[in-house]
Amino acid sequence: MTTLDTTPEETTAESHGEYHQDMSFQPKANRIGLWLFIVSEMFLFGAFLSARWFSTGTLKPEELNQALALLLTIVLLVSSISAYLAETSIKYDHRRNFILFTVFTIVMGLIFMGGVSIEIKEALHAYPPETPYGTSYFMLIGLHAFHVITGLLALTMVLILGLKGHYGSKQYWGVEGVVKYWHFVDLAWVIIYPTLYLF
Amino acid sequence: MTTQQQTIDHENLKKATRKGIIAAVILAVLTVIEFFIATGVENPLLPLLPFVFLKGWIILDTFMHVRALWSDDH
Repeated sequence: MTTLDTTPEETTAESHGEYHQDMSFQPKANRIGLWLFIVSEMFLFGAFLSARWFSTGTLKPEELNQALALLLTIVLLVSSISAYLAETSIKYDHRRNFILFTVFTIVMGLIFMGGVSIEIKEALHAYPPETPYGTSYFMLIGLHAFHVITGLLALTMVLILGLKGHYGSKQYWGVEGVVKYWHFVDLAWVIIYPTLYLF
Repeated sequence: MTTQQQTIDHENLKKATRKGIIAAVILAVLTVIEFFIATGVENPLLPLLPFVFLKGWIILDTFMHVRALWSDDH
């Protein structure tokens, strides 16, 4: 059938088809875009981490709450595995598990933020922001906490859309992108935790 | 969806879930070892660095699927 033989409705339908065909390549471009964003974030965290090394080396105060920091690390790791399971569930159309694991991830994130607020409260007395260690500590913890909050907001959005039936095995980029971001937040903590508490 | 396809999907889901749980357990064990090294050794920077890199790689590879960036099947 030539273009002259087609009705305007058919032409529109055809061009929509082409559009959808082009869109099938989109997830790969999306992934590369997200990875570029994550790499730029790594540079940002890298700058803050190097500031800690530059200003105080490996010196750290005695008052650090090691037990709480270890607990928070485990909480974030648990949230990471549940985020992974949420993504895997939607990839295979297990909607109920996807919702459950997303809710669990959000709860773990909130517990993490609760722990961080306790840490910050303690840190304000033990090593205030005016001290060299305090400066690095509050910069890194603050930057990371900001990422946790944005991750939680994104996860909540994914949960709401998921409850409305927006995702499935053929279309789960939204979940994948947010979960990848959440894993990045975990990855950043894997480096921040020893830098501030252990080295 | 055919029954055969459903069985394959179920197997893949089980495999992916197992892989994720194993990775999380390894990460948790490494974190605890890291903690004990840090509290027991005087200058723990060098002994802890391999743990940081290993944990980072596990997250990048298992959870973030970084290798999928240069494979065609993703």
